[in-house]
Amino acid sequence: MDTLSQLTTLFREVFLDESIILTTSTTSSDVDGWDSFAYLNILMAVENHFGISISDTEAPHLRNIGDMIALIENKISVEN
Amino acid sequence: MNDVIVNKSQYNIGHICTTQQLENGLADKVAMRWISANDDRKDYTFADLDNESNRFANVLQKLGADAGDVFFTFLPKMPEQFFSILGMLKMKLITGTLFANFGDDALLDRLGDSKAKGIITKKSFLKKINRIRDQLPALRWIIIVDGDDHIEDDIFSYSRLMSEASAYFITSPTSPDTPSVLHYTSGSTGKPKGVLHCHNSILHQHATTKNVLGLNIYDVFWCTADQGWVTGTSYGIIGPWCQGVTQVHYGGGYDAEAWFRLLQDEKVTVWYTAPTALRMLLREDATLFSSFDLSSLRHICSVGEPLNPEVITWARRTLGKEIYDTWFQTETGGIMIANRPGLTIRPGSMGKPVEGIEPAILADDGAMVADGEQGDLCVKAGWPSMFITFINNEQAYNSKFRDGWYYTGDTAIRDADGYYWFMGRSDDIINTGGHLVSPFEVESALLEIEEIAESGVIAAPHEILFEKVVAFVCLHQQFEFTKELELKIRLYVSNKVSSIATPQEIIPIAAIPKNKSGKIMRRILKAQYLGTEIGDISTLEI
Repeated sequence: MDTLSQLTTLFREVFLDESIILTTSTTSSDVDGWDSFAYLNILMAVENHFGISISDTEAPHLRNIGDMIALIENKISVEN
Repeated sequence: MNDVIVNKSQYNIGHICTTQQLENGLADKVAMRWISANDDRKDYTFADLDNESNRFANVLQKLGADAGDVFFTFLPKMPEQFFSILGMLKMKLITGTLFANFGDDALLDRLGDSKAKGIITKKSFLKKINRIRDQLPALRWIIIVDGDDHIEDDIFSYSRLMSEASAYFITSPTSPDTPSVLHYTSGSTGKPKGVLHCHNSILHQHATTKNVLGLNIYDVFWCTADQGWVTGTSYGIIGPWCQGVTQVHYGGGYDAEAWFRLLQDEKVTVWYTAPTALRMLLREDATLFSSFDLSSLRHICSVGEPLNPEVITWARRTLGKEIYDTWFQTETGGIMIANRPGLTIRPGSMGKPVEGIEPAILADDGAMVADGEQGDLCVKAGWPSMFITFINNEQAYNSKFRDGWYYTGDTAIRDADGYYWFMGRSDDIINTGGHLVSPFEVESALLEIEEIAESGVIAAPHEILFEKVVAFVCLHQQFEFTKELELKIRLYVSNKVSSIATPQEIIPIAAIPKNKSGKIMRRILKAQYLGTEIGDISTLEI
């Protein structure tokens, strides 16, 4: 499963919403309930699922799902 | 400035904010510049606001809603939310607003307790309502803002209803004691309580918008508060519109660059926001701010939690602006104590009482304490925007008053010059990001999680949020605390209560300290967390 599909599954679990469909251009304003508190839940879900660690300085620079995918894939490749 | 606010004994908030503005010659003036999260802009004049709210009042009438019925909005910030709130008020419905990120339990508590008959929401929120619908026998009407056709017999399309409704509506005379706005507020024990106001509140909201926020009819005002909370209704709807002020409303969340572009491009003159947001801005790269022209911005006001002096210093140095911190509560309906233009700011203080408000610092025996001594912050009962009851809980309402004083639950001191200084809460309520969270609600949600045997929730200091939610959990013997369980706990609380109530820290513990009657001793958990003296533990159950 590609990273976008895995993120879509994670987002559906985080927000209890099976209707969520992510694209690389999805931002916080496109997902109901995605506020700064929910963002911390997303980051923790991403860290747990992909086995990576996202620092406090990296998190604010993720403007959309495309940025998140790039960060995840970069970290996976570096750590492997 | 529109100083004569109440004409011919018509106190109706919806009428005064719209129809009366037309009578004042402001039909073509922009009432709301709506800016979506995607930066789409649309202007609505006071005539538009009047027409749309009239249509919604007619929709409610056609559905069969009556004065005194409870109707909620459950929407993110969007134009339909404003039209429907004003329409409900014109119909003299009890007008409740729900924060868009409330979870199932939070919704059930509020819709169930108030016996709400109607709710206006959006399609994607329906799943939350459907999960609790069988526990809401009073709920008759659900209106969906997105979608052109009715979905079921009791799930209606807003656009279809509105297209069939007349824009002509005469608001019947409304006495000052007619119930108006309903917000639920958290307590440290028990379920959230429904704080009910009456149309008379507009007198105080009008006065404080003028005298504290300093608005006049030429201003462009931006209040960042969500309409789910009292600031969003008192000062994001009522205060500015009842005196013909143009408001900017923005559908996006925190984004320093977008916010400053908005302040610049819309020529906002007065900005009302929260200390949490200001503290986040303080951490941004200072060069960001120098690229924007804020010459239109006269001053900034803040509300929600105490404003640190360093934020005031930062705003003076970086933005060249003053920030006036204000204090009020859901129960007070309007600003009670404030820093404001014309009053020398003492950074870190709440400011001084606003006109017509008489606060006092009282000792446990009800006597006034000397200046400089800490006590309960109280307000002499009877101000125009004072809440008139806790819905279905008169006993709890009465318990907030003693000898003519309203007990706010905050502790404070007054200095020799009459400035008030917030010291803390006299209960366990958590103020996180300007929102009150009940530890009881979070503890209750935690106990619904299979792995958790006991829970205790406290407030802990936080650099940005003022306070954060910290949960202590005692697991059933067969479970261990893992990162997966931590995430499960966070998500459960987010989806059951609200994202705001999510514990920012979850600490496994062998047992939750309780007294002999089984009450969770949160002060012991707090002392343990902060590493301070535990104090008297004579009632601790070992």
